[in-house]
Amino acid sequence: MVRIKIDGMPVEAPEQSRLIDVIRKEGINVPSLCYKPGMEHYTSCMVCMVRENNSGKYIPSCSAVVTDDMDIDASGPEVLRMRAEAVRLLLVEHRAECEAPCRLVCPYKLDIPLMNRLLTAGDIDDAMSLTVNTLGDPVAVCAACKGYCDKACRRKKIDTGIAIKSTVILLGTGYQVSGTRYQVAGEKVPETETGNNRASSRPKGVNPEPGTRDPIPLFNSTLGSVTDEEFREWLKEAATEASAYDNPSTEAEACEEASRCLHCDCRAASDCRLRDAAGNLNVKNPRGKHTAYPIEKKINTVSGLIFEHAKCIKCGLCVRLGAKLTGQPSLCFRGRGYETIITEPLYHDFVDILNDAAREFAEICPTGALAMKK
Amino acid sequence: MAQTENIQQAHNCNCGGTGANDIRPAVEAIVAATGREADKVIPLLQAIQDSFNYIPSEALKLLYELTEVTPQQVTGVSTFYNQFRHIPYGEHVIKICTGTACHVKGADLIGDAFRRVLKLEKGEITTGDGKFSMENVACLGCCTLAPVVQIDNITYGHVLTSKVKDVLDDFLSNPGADTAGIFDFTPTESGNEIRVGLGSCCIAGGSSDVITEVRRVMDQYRLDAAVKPVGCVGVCNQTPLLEIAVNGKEPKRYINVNPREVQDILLKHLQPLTPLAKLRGTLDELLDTFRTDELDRSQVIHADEVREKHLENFLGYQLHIATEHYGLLSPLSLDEYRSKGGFEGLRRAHEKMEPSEVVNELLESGLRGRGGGGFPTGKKWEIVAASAEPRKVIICNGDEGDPGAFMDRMLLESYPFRVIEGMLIAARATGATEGILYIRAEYPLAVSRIKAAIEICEKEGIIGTQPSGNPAENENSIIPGDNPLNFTLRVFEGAGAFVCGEETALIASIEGNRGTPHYRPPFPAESGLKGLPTLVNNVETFCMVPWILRNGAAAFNAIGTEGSKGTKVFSLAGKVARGGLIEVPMGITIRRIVEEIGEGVAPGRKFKAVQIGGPSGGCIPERLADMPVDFEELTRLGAMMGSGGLVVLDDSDCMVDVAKYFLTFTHEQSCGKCTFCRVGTGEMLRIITRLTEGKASLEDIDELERLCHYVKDGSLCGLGRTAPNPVITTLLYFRNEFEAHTRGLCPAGRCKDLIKYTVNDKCIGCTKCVQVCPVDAIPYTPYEKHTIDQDLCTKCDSCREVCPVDAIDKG
Repeated sequence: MVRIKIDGMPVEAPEQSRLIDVIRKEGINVPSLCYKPGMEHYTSCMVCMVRENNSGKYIPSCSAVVTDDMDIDASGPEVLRMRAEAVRLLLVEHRAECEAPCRLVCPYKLDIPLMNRLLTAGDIDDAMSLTVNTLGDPVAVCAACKGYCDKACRRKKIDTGIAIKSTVILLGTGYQVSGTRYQVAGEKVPETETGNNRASSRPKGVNPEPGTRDPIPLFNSTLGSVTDEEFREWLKEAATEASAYDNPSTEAEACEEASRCLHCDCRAASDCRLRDAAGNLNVKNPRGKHTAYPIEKKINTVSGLIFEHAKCIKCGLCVRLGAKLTGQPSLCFRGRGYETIITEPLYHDFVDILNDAAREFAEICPTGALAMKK
Repeated sequence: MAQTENIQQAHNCNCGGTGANDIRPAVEAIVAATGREADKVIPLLQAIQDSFNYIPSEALKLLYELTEVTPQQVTGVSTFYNQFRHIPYGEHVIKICTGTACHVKGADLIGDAFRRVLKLEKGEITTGDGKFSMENVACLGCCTLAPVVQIDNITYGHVLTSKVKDVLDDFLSNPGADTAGIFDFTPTESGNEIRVGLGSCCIAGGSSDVITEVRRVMDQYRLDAAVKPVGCVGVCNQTPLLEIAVNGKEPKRYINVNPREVQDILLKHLQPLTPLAKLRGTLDELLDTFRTDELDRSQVIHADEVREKHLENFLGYQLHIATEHYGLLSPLSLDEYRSKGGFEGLRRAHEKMEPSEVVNELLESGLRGRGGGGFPTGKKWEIVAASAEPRKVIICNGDEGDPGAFMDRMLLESYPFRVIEGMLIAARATGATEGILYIRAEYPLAVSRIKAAIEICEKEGIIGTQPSGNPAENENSIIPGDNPLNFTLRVFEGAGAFVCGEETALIASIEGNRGTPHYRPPFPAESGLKGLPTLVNNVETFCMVPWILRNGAAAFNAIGTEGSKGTKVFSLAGKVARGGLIEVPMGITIRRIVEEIGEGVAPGRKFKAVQIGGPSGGCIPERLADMPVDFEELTRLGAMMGSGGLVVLDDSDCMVDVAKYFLTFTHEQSCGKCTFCRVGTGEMLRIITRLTEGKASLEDIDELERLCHYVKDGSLCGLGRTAPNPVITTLLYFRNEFEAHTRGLCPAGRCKDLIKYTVNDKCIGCTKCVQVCPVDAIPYTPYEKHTIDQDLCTKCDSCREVCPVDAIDKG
């Protein structure tokens, strides 16, 4: 056994233990993005930094092994600043938005892009439940609202915005008629009386309890202006031939209208370790992300895997996972330094790889860079 | 980074003339010769590129099929290293050196000039007719000839923007440098020698013409001496170098030798073998004067005394340990090396000492790593020796990536046996049985010399795994009557990544991976290549070892300062009159190096600062030049010893520009693994670039400083941790210059966006500037004072270069 000190407390740990595991076992929060127990450590994100007081050096706790007489500062203000700077630098590269503008301006923070995805897939009941769970009484609530959602819709820049308010009222009306109440698959939205899901008031520095999720975490990544090329990338996900309906009157029309959605939100918004770390460390969204790679969506139409380079933090988890899958081409690094990207191997096509393991990859990705279309 | 733009074109295109039919058999042969294992990917790719001049898509796909290399690995590796290109290049490749010395002498302007002459658009690499391709290279290691351009294998030094067309014309009329036979050496009975320096820089300076002329005169007059190509003397700024050593007399050295002077120099010291030969020679010459107009062959340009003084200054303060017998040895002559004490140190280590005693010798000598880290060498050897693991590896780190440093190149080219001896002594101390020399691909002469030296050592029975014949007959082996040492040596050619100078990244590349470092501990000395205890030492470190073993630790310890023992090899370059390679005792002051050895800056200019330690180092301002060269002293001042690059800066160098140059380098060379280096250096570079454009504010300087501290503390490896050093030191000592840039001023007159070229009253209207201006920014007004149209001017500096009366102001 090895004897060390963490935040002044004496701790004993087995030899060869990873420092981050030992610290976390004591209940102290150490965020990490590129580290996943069970995978080889990679020392990339540097968000797990702690300071070793004897040498004064900052060390990545995911890669350090405990040795006798280590004196670790895992929670002091300078350590937190170091982690915050790592997160801030990652966000400088992060050309993406956590939430679509429509959701941000909605007083009830309805997850409109999710609703659109459900409608596009034909899951009317789930879409209905989402609106009811969030708004309580969609018909009344939306009728009284000025409809900021419609005004904020990004699609307006191309042709006409999505008719969100009308769609929600339509769904609400449908609910009143059918009277059923469902849970939306995979998303445990806390029940509310009036749907007052404002920004979370959970104390800083504390991890959320497993299994629950705040509707809008403290941190939100935003873009400033978006270039025309980037809009065209977003259009990739929208149905090209769908007609626009100003006021959808049937469920079929609502689905077609919803399929025009650009999905300019992030599918990992409620499951993003970068977002959590930024919220916990009180990092502000950096301005001027124009040096980051532009928005680009690579869609594997066979498996439904989407890769967005602008959200990638180059942590290499997907590459390491791919190395475990023998015998099939998988994701790899290309280039060096700032221009490193994750991509399919040379002379392969993105649509040909990972078709049977796509979901595993989407799950291992700590941000929304790899996500499933559905 | 490797050229991957247009890779989709290569995917579908059929250009380059390589039919698919040619590729398969060639690749199969390469795989058969190199191996199928995954860790062979870099040598495989190098062999493919050697065959086809790039890596065709078919060849890459064949690798997936024929070897254990996975598509992921090949993609990751072939796009990580600078050497590999996936698109075909033109017939000839122009490499513009962007090393430190070349940068301060205007490499970016040279690059622009080539683009103009070749009519290449921004981003284009190959000319329309496919004749030339152009690329920037990190450092060719010919810094004293800056700015340097290499076309195929011919190096051009002191290139001027106005003379770029001449360089191309010269190359086209002379594309294949005929170097066959110039390295030959056969000693004569008289023992007289005519030594001509033939290092890479010497050749670039014209030494091959000199030695050819020497051989011609030798033949014509039948002079009694051997023509001997020798390794580097270090007096790089004064090549070509010729030394006459007549048996029994003091050797006489001549600098800046012109081929036309050769005959007179030789005849001054050497006699034709027979009177008949002399007569014949004189007659030939008389006939020549009738045949040609060349009457004056007898101009010896410098008086003897002046030549002597320059050499005295340059060589007087030096102390040659790693470069012992400089200018004397023919690099690949094993007999000569042995006759001058070569392998004596190794013999002592085997016959008179136990391995632990060898380790102690190194510990007591105080030798510290010469690659930049300065870790006590003896301690490293001790750690490796202490491991119980039977298999151990020694790696010689010859990946000298610092732009502006070329000491290791010189040591590998000129003293290959010394490097090998150092490694073998380390093997004795640690019990290692395998050695790898990691040499960067940009040093082809070094690679071929070392390979030849290894072959000679194996042939002569010094090293090997099989005993060669009857042990008692093997008089060449180190211990007479014994077998060759159980040690195998091979060369691994680096594929072009500065980060691979870091030991864990270096090991990763040998294992066939991207050159990304990993966290230490575990240190390579405990667990390195394939998990084995691995000793990684720099070339120069190994070159010190034989001397220490021969002369004893105390002798080495007696030189230098308290914390820094022995000598250090520096490459002195930049704005200094006499640049070159020097080996000086630790503790010598910077001022002595710059002003006495180097003879100071150009007349009319002021010595401003010294950049020491390359991109990991820092600037020492002139006012601190009396500081001694010492590991701790330099660190205290914010700089770093580094590998030994010393670039002198004068008042025409902008410190913001210098900081930007180094940051550009480290940002481009970053492996990209850790957040702080990958993104942090980019953010710092953005701010510094805006400073040079006059678009930054004082708050930006504060932000720059803030980022420096985070990148320094948070990066995974030495590259990131030291990348902010040039910025930190220039901010520390030259903050006023940074602040001036926020007001739109560049006090040194370097930053293009902040300077103007104007014509002053000295103008005589000779129109020379009009003729060279590439963008017609100067109207043709003969005999009248000229003017420069500021809207058109690209600040290429050509007009100022050609003006005979200094009438063009830059400011």
